[in-house]
Amino acid sequence: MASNLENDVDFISNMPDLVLQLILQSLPNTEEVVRTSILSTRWRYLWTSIPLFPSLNIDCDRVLNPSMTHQRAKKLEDFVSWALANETVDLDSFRLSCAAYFDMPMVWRWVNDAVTRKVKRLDLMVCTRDKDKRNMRAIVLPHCLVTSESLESLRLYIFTIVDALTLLKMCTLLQELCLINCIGYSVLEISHLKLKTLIIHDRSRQRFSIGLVVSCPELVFFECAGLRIRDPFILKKVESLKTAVILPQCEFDRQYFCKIFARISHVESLSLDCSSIRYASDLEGNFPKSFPNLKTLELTTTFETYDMKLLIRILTCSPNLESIHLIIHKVCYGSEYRESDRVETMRILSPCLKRVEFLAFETDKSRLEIAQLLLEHRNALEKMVFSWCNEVDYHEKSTGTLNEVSKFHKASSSVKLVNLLKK
Amino acid sequence: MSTSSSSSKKIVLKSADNETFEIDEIVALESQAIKNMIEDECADNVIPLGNIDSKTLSKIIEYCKKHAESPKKDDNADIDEKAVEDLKSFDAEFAKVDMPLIQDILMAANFLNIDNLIGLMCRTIADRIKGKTPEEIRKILNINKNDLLSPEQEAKAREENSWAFD
Repeated sequence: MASNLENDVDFISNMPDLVLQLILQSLPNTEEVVRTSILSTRWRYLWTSIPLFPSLNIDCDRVLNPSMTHQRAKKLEDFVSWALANETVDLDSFRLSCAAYFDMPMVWRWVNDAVTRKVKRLDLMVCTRDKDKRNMRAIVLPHCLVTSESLESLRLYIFTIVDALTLLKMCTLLQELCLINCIGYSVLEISHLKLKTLIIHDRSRQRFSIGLVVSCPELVFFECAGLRIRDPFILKKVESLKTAVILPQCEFDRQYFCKIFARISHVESLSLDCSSIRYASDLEGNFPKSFPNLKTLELTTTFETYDMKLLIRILTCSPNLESIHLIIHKVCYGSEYRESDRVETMRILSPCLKRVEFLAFETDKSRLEIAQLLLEHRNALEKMVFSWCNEVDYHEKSTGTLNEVSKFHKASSSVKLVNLLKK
Repeated sequence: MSTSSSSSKKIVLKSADNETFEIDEIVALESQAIKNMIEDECADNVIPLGNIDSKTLSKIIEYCKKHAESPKKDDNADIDEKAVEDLKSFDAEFAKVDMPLIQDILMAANFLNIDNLIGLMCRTIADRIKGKTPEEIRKILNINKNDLLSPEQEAKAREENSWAFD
């Protein structure tokens, strides 16, 4: 091997194909892989040696906009068809984001090809062409897809109703289902024997309300966010559930809130947005008596009076709580919320509470006060984590914050203070 | 050969510029190539690495040390979280070096067969060329000007997959 002192040596091109293919596979999408074909003679056909193409990531918005021409679209069509046609190698993942550039029959033909190549992860983002000028025309998942024997993860980002979701129960290996902006349902029913992860998001901001019925006995992770949930919201057969993230767009009816809580009182990790369940904390009767397994509680809160009441309700009946994650939006102590209440809150915390993490931490006086309170009153506390999502803040402020916090009086002498950068 | 237990057994590596590095065997085992040499008992007291300079070799040893010390997956979950974060930020810091050194590390890692390090360097290179124009990529990778496609060849390549080009 030559020394690198000679700056003219083209090291990379001298590396074996396998290494260069690793570089190609680390590129974020398929068109960047294809573009390496003009780098040099060494790279000209290198990318074709991964038709393997273990994963295809085609984003038409990026590729075709704004210079979308019929000719370019046709080339892309040919490419995708070609890349999918190589039947010798199983496909790991197929991601297609195609807005309205291709019609659904074409999309389904590719899906069919992908399924033929035993695709494991399928990620479709499509916008149906609204030829009839009628909104909310349901699209029907093709038979080949709902009967796939290889599909493990399905992600659909489709601005309309997806029909035949119930047929997915025939995909016996399916473990993960993610529905984003699949809107327009009156009631969405998900029932699957093997499903482990279910994520339902509505980011359309179109304020469609939706009923939800989930029946998945193996479900471990359930997340619904941004939806306007209405009657019925039923979780049945969710006895395997370990993590529940419930962050709806609207305020919950108190009745539903308690019913749902009763169904998920066995989870180990719970994430809630206090603003959606404010009124529910007034309820006495139906609230679960205990969250026996709850270890991690994540609360998006403003630390207002109702939030504190709810927090106390959950904390008093969670004997095994180990960790609280707080996402504090805007600290505003209402007039009703007095110093004595805060001290009371800290006293009442589960004796197991060992860890408190502040997510998306920012340095300000009120957040530091909360940290101080916890440190002063929790003698079982082992660890307090400040997670930063802003890299600049992390580098500039995190050490200073830690120094400041370390000066607070601590009930436990062994508590560890940690800074983390989480993007 | 010393008779001490394997945990404290030392391996000596010698770089192209004749600098020697004494490291714990456990650190050296991160390299599949050295591991094979040790298992086949063809590793002498000193393993000469005639194609790796000392600057590159010391970086590689830094990487192997950290990864050999880092606790393995199935330990206590809480330690795990911290260890994973820690290793991630170590890798990120480790990769913040200039392109010639990245390429030297990649070549050496390929020679020594250190899979994780090859992967890290390839991801780093991909990260630096993503979103760049072909001209920029050629410059970053220092691609030999004699190997460029002729204008006709380049036009043909662009035409074949015009959808991927601006």
